[in-house]
Amino acid sequence: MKRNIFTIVLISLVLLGITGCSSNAAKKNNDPAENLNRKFYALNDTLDKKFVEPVAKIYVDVAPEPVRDRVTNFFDNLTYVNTISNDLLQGKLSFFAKDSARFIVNSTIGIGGLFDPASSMGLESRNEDLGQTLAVWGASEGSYIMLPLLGPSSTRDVTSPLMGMATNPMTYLASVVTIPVGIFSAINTRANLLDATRMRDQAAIDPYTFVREAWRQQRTYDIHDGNPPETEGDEFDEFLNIESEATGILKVY
Amino acid sequence: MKVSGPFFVIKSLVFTLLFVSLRLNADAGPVATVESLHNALLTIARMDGEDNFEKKYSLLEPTISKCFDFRKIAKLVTGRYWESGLKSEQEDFEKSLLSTAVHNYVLNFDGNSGLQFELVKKKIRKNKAVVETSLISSDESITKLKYVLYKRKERWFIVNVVAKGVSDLSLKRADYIRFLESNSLGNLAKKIHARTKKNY
Repeated sequence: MKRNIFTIVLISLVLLGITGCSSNAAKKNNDPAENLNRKFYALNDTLDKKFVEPVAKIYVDVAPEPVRDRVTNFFDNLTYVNTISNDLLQGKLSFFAKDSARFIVNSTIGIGGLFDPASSMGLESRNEDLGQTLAVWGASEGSYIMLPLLGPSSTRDVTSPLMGMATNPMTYLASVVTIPVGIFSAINTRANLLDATRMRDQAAIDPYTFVREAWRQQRTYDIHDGNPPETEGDEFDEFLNIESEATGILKVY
Repeated sequence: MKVSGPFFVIKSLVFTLLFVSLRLNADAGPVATVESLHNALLTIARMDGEDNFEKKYSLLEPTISKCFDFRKIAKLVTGRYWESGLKSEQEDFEKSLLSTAVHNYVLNFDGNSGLQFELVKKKIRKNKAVVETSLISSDESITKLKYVLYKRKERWFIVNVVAKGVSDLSLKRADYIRFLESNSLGNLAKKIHARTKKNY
């Protein structure tokens, strides 16, 4: 399974190098391989609609929300070594300390990560990965890439899943365990994204463009830990993101 | 001019109250606009969510129409293609934006009775403002919502909503301009109307 993913990633990178188109729109959108990316998007979408989404919906119907929450907590906790490692690589020592404490609390008091007592202690869940680390080190996004099976990425972010796998304890167990658990994890992740894809289907005229822009904005938000820089430019940019003043919670209703 | 005593007093009182009411409305800041939207959304969310989509839609539409500046949004998301549209196409496009916004809010806030909003931050800069809020679900998960508002004729209108760093205006602009590269504004409006009907 893991070898297959490596192969797919490598093949897609090679293909991107060979078949990158160069229309003006593609250059403007930083998406030189748009034609190929759209094919992979269509492939992912077909596989999702035919196989993954129906299974995810059955899972949501069968498993009560508290059970799904425990499962999500468990898998999130497993990926936390990745977050902690990247905290350190980015020199975010305060977050490194907090995220390490969160991992220890949830792995012990939280019974292997099934429960999330750390959040109620103020140790909120965060997400760091290698792509974010490279961005903090100054790497630009590079070209947009739609990876088969894995979804949106960029030349900067394409190695993130590899480090994610390398830092996940499940990787080092026997494949008889990792394969079914990996599939279950993927279904659980897809179940958690049902609302997001429903909103995409409600709103998007061109789902490929919609996903690309949403992914980019989400990455910028994550890279800047929820405080992306203010944009400046034409009238359109002015309405995207005006910096606000921190004043604490003003009102709850 | 001759005025009768009690009638004049009542008339003056009515006019004063009307003036004060209009003034208060005019002075309502960006936070009031956001709160007005939130209160309408909470009303929808707390309604029994069975078969009353139309009822919820008709309840929400006036508030959405009042809180958002769809003309401004329409111009911003279509860029240079706005001017190329006929007046009727522009009006239809504005209507499609309103319709899709109300539909999506009704669909996404249906049956979420445990929702809560927190007003977190605000900033006003001349005729623009930002109001940051948190939407708290019944499972205590938090979605950060940032509203960007614009002041026109003494009233504040929402022009953008940024959810967890993803800007609605920016997504629409990328999506719609892609379509407009090979289609008219009228076709885009039709496409949005069709998409809205399909989702319902």
